[in-house]
Amino acid sequence: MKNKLALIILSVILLASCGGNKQKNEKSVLSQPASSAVEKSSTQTEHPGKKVYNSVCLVCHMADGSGVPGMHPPIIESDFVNGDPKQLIKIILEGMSGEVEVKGEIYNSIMPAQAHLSNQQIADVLTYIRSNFGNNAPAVSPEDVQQLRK
Amino acid sequence: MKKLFPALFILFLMFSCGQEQKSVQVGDPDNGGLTLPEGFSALVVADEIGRGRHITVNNNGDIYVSLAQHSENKGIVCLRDSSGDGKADIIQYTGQHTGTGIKLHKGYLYFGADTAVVRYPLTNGELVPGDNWQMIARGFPNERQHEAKPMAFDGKGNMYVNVGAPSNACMEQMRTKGSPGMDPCPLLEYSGGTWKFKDDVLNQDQMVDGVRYVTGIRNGMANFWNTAVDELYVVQHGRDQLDQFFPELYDSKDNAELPAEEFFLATEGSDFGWPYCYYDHLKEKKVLGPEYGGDGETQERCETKSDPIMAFPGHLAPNDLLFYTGNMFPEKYKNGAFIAFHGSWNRAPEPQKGYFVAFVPFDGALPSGDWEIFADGFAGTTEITSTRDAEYRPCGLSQGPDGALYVVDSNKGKVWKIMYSK
Repeated sequence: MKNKLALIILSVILLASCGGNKQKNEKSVLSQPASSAVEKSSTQTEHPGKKVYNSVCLVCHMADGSGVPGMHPPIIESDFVNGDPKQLIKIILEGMSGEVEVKGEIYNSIMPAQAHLSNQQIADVLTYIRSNFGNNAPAVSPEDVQQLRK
Repeated sequence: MKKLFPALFILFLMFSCGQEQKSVQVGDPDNGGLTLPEGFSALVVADEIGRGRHITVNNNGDIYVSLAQHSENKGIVCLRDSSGDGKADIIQYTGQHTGTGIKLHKGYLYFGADTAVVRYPLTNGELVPGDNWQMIARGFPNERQHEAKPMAFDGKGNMYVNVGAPSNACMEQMRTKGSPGMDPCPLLEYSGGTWKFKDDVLNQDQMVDGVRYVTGIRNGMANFWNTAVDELYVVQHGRDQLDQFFPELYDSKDNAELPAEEFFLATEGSDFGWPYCYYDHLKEKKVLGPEYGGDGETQERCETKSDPIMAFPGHLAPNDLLFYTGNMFPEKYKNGAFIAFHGSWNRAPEPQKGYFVAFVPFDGALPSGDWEIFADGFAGTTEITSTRDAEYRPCGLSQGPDGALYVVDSNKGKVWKIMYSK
């Protein structure tokens, strides 16, 4: 139990320090509205979607959402993340594989389905990424997820 | 003028074979951003040539780099230094395939496209290979992970091709928490090992003509035939996500270190244990994977699997291997191994690690001492939280005719030449 607590604290510290880096790195490339979205994210540490992101998504998409070159696409300032929520929900429920092009770079790997997550968890994490990492799009509801669950 | 060029070229060739070259070529003032042991220097041969993977250097100094993605609709970059300063001044793109493996052999440029091994014909003196490629080996699975097909040649008519397993630990459902490992793992029939082919026979099919030479290797894209002892060596990318799938057994710190990236002496018939086992370099033993009922301690069937000859920290991503046979570097490097570590992603949320070229000294078939970092500084920063924080990532290695070591980066396509002078 003590270990777990220490871990959580450590993750929070690490994440907080990542957030700082991110702001520094992105200032030069992001437009104004996007960087204010990033700043907003650092104060919203309690978003329930963040917990889901950290335990499921971070390993591939990284703490700052920058992904892994050639493998895992970034979710920062993403037209796709800001776009049709149905597409996002389907990827989480069904996974995806093959080439995708994001900002001129090609990513080719697999994302496993995460259908074991609850409707609420999927809604939370999508709402979280759509309002952080330089994104700004409406929330996703558990009902939206349920509609697409087969 | 036309007659002058061949004469100059011949002069250049003679010059580059001579000993004087060391004094002609000097490292860049900043060694191209690299930190190196004393006496070594580096110059940037080329930059931004595309997403480089592996690299090979011809006897005349011509350089070929494989690309993971088409650049100018081509998958091979050809580089030539016609002035003798070590920097490429002729850069041409060719080739219809993309992939990783690239090696000069028997007058051809062999290329490991992800689902086949092909070869392009070379004409003496000409930089760019011909378009009329030939199929050497095909029938490899078309996969989205661990698909790289680097090849090694034994000089006795055989070619050894890495066939990575399209999987993390052979779970029933790909990388899904709670999904058990398949037992036996069916992927081992056609992947998870090294396959042996004839090096000069066209249209070989993996399952018909290929022979499974060694097995139990998750992804061994760093492979090399060590001519000093006539054996194949492979460095493995170990499994990912121990803490994510088994949080009751591993925390994120455990996962950052485990399992080891394993360096194998791949004698024919060896079984190194993937997916059932992984090597714990802290406990110095092969243990049963948690997908197969392991608890991080139990060995069971793993007791009989072949151990690595050296183990590195987890997730460093060994992407290329080379045994040094040149005369330029000091004696300690002779017949030792260089390994390009591409750098991690699966150490998150812990800091990432790797992004360097390591050296392992050898005496005969086995290491004679511990490994050390040989070339560092590729990442351009020491704090790497996300993989993208690294500016460059070493991915491929080759030895030049003068004994210099070439390194290619996969992010932007930077090529370094590392030299030594007393």
